[in-house]
Amino acid sequence: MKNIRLFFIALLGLVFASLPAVAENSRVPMPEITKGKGEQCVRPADDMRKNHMHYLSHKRDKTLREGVRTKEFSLKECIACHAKKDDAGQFVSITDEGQFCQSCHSYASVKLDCFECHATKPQQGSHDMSHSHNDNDSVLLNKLVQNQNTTDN
Amino acid sequence: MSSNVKKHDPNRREFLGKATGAAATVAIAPGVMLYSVAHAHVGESVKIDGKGASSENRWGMLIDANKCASDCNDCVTACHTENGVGTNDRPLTDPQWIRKVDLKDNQTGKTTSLPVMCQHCETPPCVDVCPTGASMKRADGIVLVDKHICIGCRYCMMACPYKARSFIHETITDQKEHAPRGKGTVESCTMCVHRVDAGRTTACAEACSKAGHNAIVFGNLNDPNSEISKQLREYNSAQIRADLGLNTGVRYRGI
Repeated sequence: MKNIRLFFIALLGLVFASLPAVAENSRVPMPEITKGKGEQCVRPADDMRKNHMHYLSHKRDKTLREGVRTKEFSLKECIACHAKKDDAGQFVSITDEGQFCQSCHSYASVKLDCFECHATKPQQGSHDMSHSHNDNDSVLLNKLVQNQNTTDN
Repeated sequence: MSSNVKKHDPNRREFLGKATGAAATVAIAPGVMLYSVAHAHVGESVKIDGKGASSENRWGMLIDANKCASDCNDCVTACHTENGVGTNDRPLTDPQWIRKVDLKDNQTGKTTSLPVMCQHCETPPCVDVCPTGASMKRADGIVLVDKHICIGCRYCMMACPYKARSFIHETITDQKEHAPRGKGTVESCTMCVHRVDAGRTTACAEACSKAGHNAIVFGNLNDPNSEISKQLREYNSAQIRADLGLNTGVRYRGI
Protein backbone atom coordinates (compact mmCIF):
# COMPACT_ATOMS: atom_id res chain seq x y z
CA MET A 1 0.00 0.00 0.00
CA LYS A 2 2.75 2.36 1.01
CA ASN A 3 4.57 1.60 -2.19
CA ILE A 4 1.55 2.49 -4.28
CA ARG A 5 1.21 5.84 -2.52
CA LEU A 6 4.87 6.56 -3.08
CA PHE A 7 4.47 5.64 -6.73
CA PHE A 8 1.63 8.13 -7.17
CA ILE A 9 3.56 10.89 -5.43
CA ALA A 10 6.53 10.22 -7.69
CA LEU A 11 4.24 10.25 -10.72
CA LEU A 12 2.71 13.54 -9.63
CA GLY A 13 6.16 15.03 -9.11
CA LEU A 14 7.15 13.92 -12.59
CA VAL A 15 4.08 15.56 -14.13
CA PHE A 16 4.75 18.89 -12.37
CA ALA A 17 8.42 18.78 -13.24
CA SER A 18 7.62 18.34 -16.90
CA LEU A 19 5.06 21.19 -17.03
CA PRO A 20 7.52 24.01 -17.82
CA ALA A 21 9.01 21.82 -20.51
CA VAL A 22 5.55 21.42 -22.02
CA ALA A 23 5.10 25.20 -22.06
CA GLU A 24 8.53 25.69 -23.60
CA ASN A 25 7.92 23.13 -26.29
CA SER A 26 4.41 24.38 -26.98
CA ARG A 27 3.62 25.57 -30.47
CA VAL A 28 2.41 28.83 -28.94
CA PRO A 29 5.37 30.92 -27.82
CA MET A 30 5.24 32.22 -24.24
CA PRO A 31 4.31 35.89 -24.18
CA GLU A 32 7.11 38.34 -23.66
CA ILE A 33 5.87 40.60 -20.93
CA THR A 34 7.99 43.65 -21.35
CA LYS A 35 8.47 45.70 -18.23
CA GLY A 36 7.02 49.19 -18.13
CA LYS A 37 9.04 52.34 -17.64
CA GLY A 38 8.00 53.13 -14.10
CA GLU A 39 8.77 51.44 -10.81
CA GLN A 40 5.47 49.63 -10.63
CA CYS A 41 2.06 49.44 -12.27
CA VAL A 42 -1.03 51.19 -10.86
CA ARG A 43 -2.04 47.80 -9.43
CA PRO A 44 -0.05 44.64 -8.66
CA ALA A 45 0.79 42.67 -11.78
CA ASP A 46 -1.39 39.66 -11.00
CA ASP A 47 -4.39 41.93 -10.42
CA MET A 48 -3.72 43.77 -13.66
CA ARG A 49 -3.31 40.50 -15.55
CA LYS A 50 -6.74 39.38 -14.40
CA ASN A 51 -8.68 42.63 -14.28
CA HIS A 52 -7.13 45.16 -16.65
CA MET A 53 -10.04 44.90 -19.08
CA HIS A 54 -12.53 45.79 -16.34
CA TYR A 55 -10.43 48.71 -15.17
CA LEU A 56 -10.16 49.96 -18.73
CA SER A 57 -13.82 49.65 -19.62
CA HIS A 58 -14.91 51.31 -16.39
CA LYS A 59 -12.46 54.11 -16.98
CA ARG A 60 -13.54 54.60 -20.60
CA ASP A 61 -17.14 55.36 -19.60
CA LYS A 62 -15.99 57.69 -16.85
CA THR A 63 -13.77 59.57 -19.26
CA LEU A 64 -15.98 59.74 -22.30
CA ARG A 65 -19.33 60.30 -20.64
CA GLU A 66 -18.38 62.23 -17.52
CA GLY A 67 -15.16 63.88 -18.60
CA VAL A 68 -13.20 62.51 -15.65
CA ARG A 69 -9.72 62.32 -17.06
CA THR A 70 -7.37 60.69 -14.61
CA LYS A 71 -4.14 58.96 -15.42
CA GLU A 72 -4.91 55.78 -13.50
CA PHE A 73 -6.30 53.07 -15.81
CA SER A 74 -6.02 55.38 -18.79
CA LEU A 75 -5.24 53.36 -21.93
CA LYS A 76 -3.08 56.25 -23.06
CA GLU A 77 -0.95 55.87 -19.94
CA CYS A 78 -0.70 52.09 -20.33
CA ILE A 79 0.72 52.59 -23.79
CA ALA A 80 2.96 55.47 -22.74
CA CYS A 81 4.51 53.22 -20.12
CA HIS A 82 4.74 49.93 -22.01
CA ALA A 83 5.55 51.08 -25.56
CA LYS A 84 9.05 50.24 -26.74
CA LYS A 85 11.27 52.16 -29.10
CA ASP A 86 13.07 50.67 -32.07
CA ASP A 87 16.70 51.23 -32.96
CA ALA A 88 15.85 54.42 -34.80
CA GLY A 89 14.25 55.83 -31.65
CA GLN A 90 10.72 55.56 -33.01
CA PHE A 91 7.92 54.08 -30.92
CA VAL A 92 6.85 50.59 -31.94
CA SER A 93 3.12 49.89 -32.20
CA ILE A 94 1.80 48.09 -29.10
CA THR A 95 -0.01 45.70 -31.44
CA ASP A 96 3.13 44.66 -33.31
CA GLU A 97 4.50 41.14 -32.94
CA GLY A 98 6.07 40.60 -29.52
CA GLN A 99 4.88 43.90 -28.06
CA PHE A 100 3.21 44.25 -24.69
CA CYS A 101 -0.49 43.97 -25.58
CA GLN A 102 -0.13 41.81 -28.67
CA SER A 103 2.12 39.06 -27.29
CA CYS A 104 -0.10 38.24 -24.32
CA HIS A 105 -3.34 38.48 -26.26
CA SER A 106 -2.09 36.18 -28.97
CA TYR A 107 -0.91 33.70 -26.32
CA ALA A 108 -4.34 33.76 -24.68
CA SER A 109 -6.02 33.83 -28.08
CA VAL A 110 -8.14 36.83 -27.17
CA LYS A 111 -8.96 39.37 -29.85
CA LEU A 112 -7.63 42.83 -29.13
CA ASP A 113 -10.31 45.34 -30.07
CA CYS A 114 -9.08 48.61 -28.56
CA PHE A 115 -6.76 49.50 -31.37
CA GLU A 116 -9.25 49.57 -34.19
CA CYS A 117 -9.88 53.08 -32.92
CA HIS A 118 -7.21 53.93 -30.36
CA ALA A 119 -3.70 55.04 -31.15
CA THR A 120 -1.20 52.18 -30.83
CA LYS A 121 1.80 54.24 -29.84
CA PRO A 122 2.42 57.32 -27.72
CA GLN A 123 2.52 60.59 -29.58
CA GLN A 124 6.17 61.27 -30.21
CA GLY A 125 7.36 63.90 -27.76
CA SER A 126 4.31 63.96 -25.52
CA HIS A 127 5.36 61.04 -23.34
CA ASP A 128 9.11 60.97 -23.85
CA MET A 129 11.59 60.82 -21.02
CA SER A 130 9.76 59.51 -18.01
CA HIS A 131 6.46 61.23 -18.63
CA SER A 132 7.50 64.79 -19.26
CA HIS A 133 4.09 66.10 -20.25
CA ASN A 134 3.20 69.41 -21.77
CA ASP A 135 2.16 72.33 -19.61
CA ASN A 136 -1.50 71.51 -19.50
CA ASP A 137 -0.86 67.96 -18.45
CA SER A 138 1.44 69.23 -15.73
CA VAL A 139 -1.31 71.52 -14.49
CA LEU A 140 -3.69 68.58 -14.37
CA LEU A 141 -1.09 66.43 -12.69
CA ASN A 142 -0.44 69.08 -10.05
CA LYS A 143 -4.15 69.38 -9.43
CA LEU A 144 -4.34 65.61 -9.10
CA VAL A 145 -1.48 65.52 -6.61
CA GLN A 146 -3.01 68.37 -4.62
CA ASN A 147 -6.32 66.59 -4.50
CA GLN A 148 -4.64 63.43 -3.34
CA ASN A 149 -2.87 65.39 -0.61
CA THR A 150 -6.08 66.92 0.59
CA THR A 151 -7.81 63.57 0.70
CA ASP A 152 -4.84 62.14 2.58
CA ASN A 153 -5.23 64.85 5.19
CA MET B 1 -37.95 83.01 -33.70
CA SER B 2 -41.52 81.86 -33.66
CA SER B 3 -42.95 81.50 -30.21
CA ASN B 4 -45.29 78.62 -30.96
CA VAL B 5 -42.51 76.08 -31.43
CA LYS B 6 -43.34 73.10 -29.28
CA LYS B 7 -40.70 72.88 -26.61
CA HIS B 8 -39.02 69.52 -26.20
CA ASP B 9 -39.37 68.29 -22.67
CA PRO B 10 -36.29 66.25 -21.75
CA ASN B 11 -37.74 65.43 -18.32
CA ARG B 12 -40.30 63.07 -19.77
CA ARG B 13 -37.60 60.85 -21.11
CA GLU B 14 -35.59 61.16 -17.91
CA PHE B 15 -38.62 60.20 -15.89
CA LEU B 16 -39.16 57.05 -17.94
CA GLY B 17 -35.47 56.18 -17.63
CA LYS B 18 -35.52 56.61 -13.87
CA ALA B 19 -38.74 54.67 -13.50
CA THR B 20 -37.36 51.63 -15.33
CA GLY B 21 -34.06 52.01 -13.45
CA ALA B 22 -35.82 51.94 -10.10
CA ALA B 23 -37.85 48.89 -11.12
CA ALA B 24 -34.68 47.09 -12.15
CA THR B 25 -33.01 47.84 -8.82
CA VAL B 26 -35.91 46.35 -6.91
CA ALA B 27 -36.09 43.29 -9.11
CA ILE B 28 -32.42 42.42 -8.70
CA ALA B 29 -32.24 43.39 -5.06
CA PRO B 30 -30.27 40.31 -3.95
CA GLY B 31 -27.65 41.05 -6.59
CA VAL B 32 -27.31 44.73 -5.77
CA MET B 33 -24.93 44.17 -2.89
CA LEU B 34 -22.66 42.10 -5.07
CA TYR B 35 -22.70 44.72 -7.76
CA SER B 36 -21.82 47.57 -5.45
CA VAL B 37 -18.92 45.66 -3.92
CA ALA B 38 -17.50 44.92 -7.34
CA HIS B 39 -18.04 48.51 -8.29
CA ALA B 40 -16.18 49.88 -5.31
CA HIS B 41 -13.23 47.65 -6.00
CA VAL B 42 -12.93 48.72 -9.60
CA GLY B 43 -13.75 52.37 -9.28
CA GLU B 44 -12.80 53.58 -5.84
CA SER B 45 -9.82 55.64 -6.86
CA VAL B 46 -10.91 56.56 -10.36
CA LYS B 47 -12.34 59.93 -9.52
CA ILE B 48 -9.20 61.59 -8.29
CA ASP B 49 -8.95 64.84 -10.09
CA GLY B 50 -12.37 65.99 -9.15
CA LYS B 51 -15.42 66.86 -11.06
CA GLY B 52 -15.22 66.10 -14.76
CA ALA B 53 -17.92 67.63 -16.95
CA SER B 54 -20.35 69.70 -14.92
CA SER B 55 -23.75 71.11 -15.79
CA GLU B 56 -22.56 74.38 -14.25
CA ASN B 57 -20.88 74.92 -17.61
CA ARG B 58 -22.30 74.95 -21.06
CA TRP B 59 -19.63 75.19 -23.67
CA GLY B 60 -20.38 77.04 -26.85
CA MET B 61 -18.92 79.06 -29.67
CA LEU B 62 -19.89 82.35 -31.23
CA ILE B 63 -18.82 82.69 -34.84
CA ASP B 64 -18.76 86.12 -36.42
CA ALA B 65 -19.44 85.67 -40.14
CA ASN B 66 -18.47 89.33 -40.71
CA LYS B 67 -14.93 88.57 -39.62
CA CYS B 68 -14.68 85.20 -41.37
CA ALA B 69 -12.68 85.45 -44.61
CA SER B 70 -13.96 83.43 -47.55
CA ASP B 71 -10.46 82.55 -48.71
CA CYS B 72 -9.40 81.29 -45.28
CA ASN B 73 -9.65 77.62 -44.36
CA ASP B 74 -7.50 77.66 -41.24
CA CYS B 75 -10.17 76.46 -38.83
CA VAL B 76 -10.89 73.41 -40.98
CA THR B 77 -7.21 72.56 -41.33
CA ALA B 78 -6.55 73.07 -37.63
CA CYS B 79 -9.52 70.91 -36.63
CA HIS B 80 -8.56 68.08 -38.90
CA THR B 81 -4.91 68.25 -37.87
CA GLU B 82 -5.78 68.34 -34.17
CA ASN B 83 -8.07 65.34 -34.40
CA GLY B 84 -6.17 63.40 -37.05
CA VAL B 85 -9.00 63.54 -39.58
CA GLY B 86 -7.36 62.59 -42.85
CA THR B 87 -8.58 62.25 -46.41
CA ASN B 88 -8.68 59.37 -48.84
CA ASP B 89 -9.25 61.77 -51.73
CA ARG B 90 -12.83 60.57 -51.95
CA PRO B 91 -14.85 63.70 -51.16
CA LEU B 92 -18.18 61.85 -51.08
CA THR B 93 -17.15 59.61 -48.19
CA ASP B 94 -14.29 61.48 -46.53
CA PRO B 95 -15.08 62.41 -42.92
CA GLN B 96 -15.65 66.06 -42.26
CA TRP B 97 -15.85 67.54 -38.79
CA ILE B 98 -16.07 71.16 -39.91
CA ARG B 99 -16.61 72.77 -43.29
CA LYS B 100 -16.63 76.25 -44.74
CA VAL B 101 -19.91 77.36 -46.28
CA ASP B 102 -20.10 80.30 -48.67
CA LEU B 103 -23.43 82.03 -49.12
CA LYS B 104 -24.44 84.60 -51.69
CA ASP B 105 -27.48 86.82 -51.63
CA ASN B 106 -28.48 86.87 -55.29
CA GLN B 107 -30.38 90.13 -54.96
CA THR B 108 -27.61 92.17 -53.41
CA GLY B 109 -24.57 90.11 -54.33
CA LYS B 110 -23.45 90.09 -50.69
CA THR B 111 -21.33 87.05 -49.91
CA THR B 112 -20.96 85.50 -46.50
CA SER B 113 -18.52 82.82 -45.39
CA LEU B 114 -18.83 80.79 -42.25
CA PRO B 115 -17.65 77.51 -40.77
CA VAL B 116 -20.31 74.92 -39.89
CA MET B 117 -19.77 72.04 -37.51
CA CYS B 118 -21.77 70.13 -34.91
CA GLN B 119 -23.91 72.79 -33.29
CA HIS B 120 -23.97 71.02 -29.92
CA CYS B 121 -27.73 71.36 -29.44
CA GLU B 122 -29.30 71.41 -26.02
CA THR B 123 -31.90 68.96 -27.33
CA PRO B 124 -29.92 67.06 -29.96
CA PRO B 125 -31.97 65.08 -32.50
CA CYS B 126 -29.00 62.73 -32.97
CA VAL B 127 -29.28 61.68 -29.31
CA ASP B 128 -33.04 61.23 -29.63
CA VAL B 129 -32.79 58.76 -32.49
CA CYS B 130 -29.75 56.73 -31.43
CA PRO B 131 -30.86 53.11 -30.82
CA THR B 132 -27.89 52.19 -28.59
CA GLY B 133 -27.28 55.33 -26.56
CA ALA B 134 -23.95 55.90 -28.26
CA SER B 135 -24.95 59.38 -29.34
CA MET B 136 -24.87 61.33 -26.10
CA LYS B 137 -24.65 64.77 -24.55
CA ARG B 138 -22.29 65.46 -21.68
CA ALA B 139 -23.40 67.43 -18.65
CA ASP B 140 -21.59 70.48 -20.01
CA GLY B 141 -23.50 70.41 -23.29
CA ILE B 142 -20.90 68.79 -25.54
CA VAL B 143 -22.50 66.27 -27.88
CA LEU B 144 -20.38 63.19 -28.54
CA VAL B 145 -20.48 59.71 -30.04
CA ASP B 146 -19.49 56.87 -27.72
CA LYS B 147 -17.77 54.78 -30.36
CA HIS B 148 -17.51 51.85 -27.96
CA ILE B 149 -21.23 51.23 -28.43
CA CYS B 150 -21.90 52.90 -31.81
CA ILE B 151 -23.14 50.29 -34.28
CA GLY B 152 -22.78 52.56 -37.30
CA CYS B 153 -26.48 52.62 -38.20
CA ARG B 154 -26.23 56.30 -39.17
CA TYR B 155 -29.68 57.29 -37.90
CA CYS B 156 -28.01 60.26 -36.21
CA MET B 157 -26.58 61.41 -39.50
CA MET B 158 -30.07 61.46 -40.97
CA ALA B 159 -31.53 63.19 -37.93
CA CYS B 160 -28.96 65.98 -37.81
CA PRO B 161 -30.28 69.10 -39.52
CA TYR B 162 -26.75 70.45 -39.89
CA LYS B 163 -25.16 67.52 -41.75
CA ALA B 164 -22.54 67.61 -39.07
CA ARG B 165 -21.74 63.93 -38.76
CA SER B 166 -19.63 61.60 -40.86
CA PHE B 167 -19.42 57.86 -41.11
CA ILE B 168 -16.02 56.21 -41.24
CA HIS B 169 -16.01 53.92 -44.25
CA GLU B 170 -12.41 52.83 -44.27
CA THR B 171 -9.88 51.43 -41.84
CA ILE B 172 -7.96 54.15 -40.05
CA THR B 173 -4.45 53.92 -38.70
CA ASP B 174 -2.27 56.46 -36.89
CA GLN B 175 -5.05 58.08 -34.93
CA LYS B 176 -4.24 60.82 -32.45
CA GLU B 177 -4.06 59.40 -28.96
CA HIS B 178 -6.67 61.91 -27.70
CA ALA B 179 -9.05 61.31 -30.61
CA PRO B 180 -9.84 57.61 -31.14
CA ARG B 181 -11.51 57.03 -34.50
CA GLY B 182 -12.41 53.81 -36.24
CA LYS B 183 -14.15 52.19 -39.18
CA GLY B 184 -17.86 51.54 -38.83
CA THR B 185 -18.64 54.35 -36.42
CA VAL B 186 -20.06 57.83 -36.76
CA GLU B 187 -18.15 60.88 -35.65
CA SER B 188 -18.39 64.65 -35.57
CA CYS B 189 -16.94 67.77 -33.96
CA THR B 190 -16.21 67.05 -30.30
CA MET B 191 -15.72 70.73 -29.49
CA CYS B 192 -12.15 69.58 -28.82
CA VAL B 193 -13.36 67.93 -25.64
CA HIS B 194 -9.86 66.79 -24.70
CA ARG B 195 -8.69 70.40 -24.81
CA VAL B 196 -11.75 71.74 -23.01
CA ASP B 197 -11.22 69.25 -20.18
CA ALA B 198 -7.67 70.52 -19.90
CA GLY B 199 -8.89 74.10 -19.69
CA ARG B 200 -7.95 75.07 -23.22
CA THR B 201 -9.88 76.53 -26.14
CA THR B 202 -10.89 74.70 -29.33
CA ALA B 203 -8.43 74.16 -32.17
CA CYS B 204 -10.59 76.09 -34.66
CA ALA B 205 -10.89 79.14 -32.39
CA GLU B 206 -7.17 79.05 -31.75
CA ALA B 207 -6.35 78.85 -35.45
CA CYS B 208 -8.78 81.67 -36.25
CA SER B 209 -7.10 83.96 -33.73
CA LYS B 210 -3.69 82.97 -35.03
CA ALA B 211 -4.78 83.93 -38.54
CA GLY B 212 -5.78 87.32 -37.14
CA HIS B 213 -9.50 87.01 -37.80
CA ASN B 214 -10.74 86.36 -34.27
CA ALA B 215 -14.06 85.24 -35.74
CA ILE B 216 -14.58 82.34 -33.32
CA VAL B 217 -15.10 82.93 -29.60
CA PHE B 218 -15.18 79.83 -27.45
CA GLY B 219 -16.53 79.97 -23.92
CA ASN B 220 -19.01 79.12 -21.23
CA LEU B 221 -22.58 80.15 -22.06
CA ASN B 222 -23.61 79.67 -18.43
CA ASP B 223 -21.07 82.15 -17.12
CA PRO B 224 -22.48 85.68 -17.50
CA ASN B 225 -18.97 87.14 -17.29
CA SER B 226 -17.44 85.04 -20.06
CA GLU B 227 -16.47 86.78 -23.30
CA ILE B 228 -18.99 84.75 -25.28
CA SER B 229 -21.88 85.63 -22.92
CA LYS B 230 -20.94 89.30 -23.03
CA GLN B 231 -20.90 89.33 -26.82
CA LEU B 232 -24.18 87.42 -27.03
CA ARG B 233 -25.73 89.97 -24.70
CA GLU B 234 -24.37 92.92 -26.62
CA TYR B 235 -24.78 91.95 -30.27
CA ASN B 236 -27.40 90.33 -32.44
CA SER B 237 -26.74 86.68 -32.99
CA ALA B 238 -28.57 83.78 -34.56
CA GLN B 239 -28.80 80.03 -34.52
CA ILE B 240 -28.88 78.16 -37.79
CA ARG B 241 -32.39 76.70 -38.16
CA ALA B 242 -33.54 78.42 -34.98
CA ASP B 243 -37.06 77.34 -36.00
CA LEU B 244 -36.24 73.81 -34.86
CA GLY B 245 -35.90 75.04 -31.29
CA LEU B 246 -32.78 72.99 -30.60
CA ASN B 247 -31.00 75.73 -28.63
CA THR B 248 -27.62 75.26 -30.25
CA GLY B 249 -24.36 75.83 -28.43
CA VAL B 250 -22.82 77.28 -31.58
CA ARG B 251 -24.17 80.71 -32.47
CA TYR B 252 -23.48 83.05 -35.38
CA ARG B 253 -23.21 86.77 -35.89
CA GLY B 254 -23.79 88.39 -39.26
CA ILE B 255 -25.90 85.71 -40.92
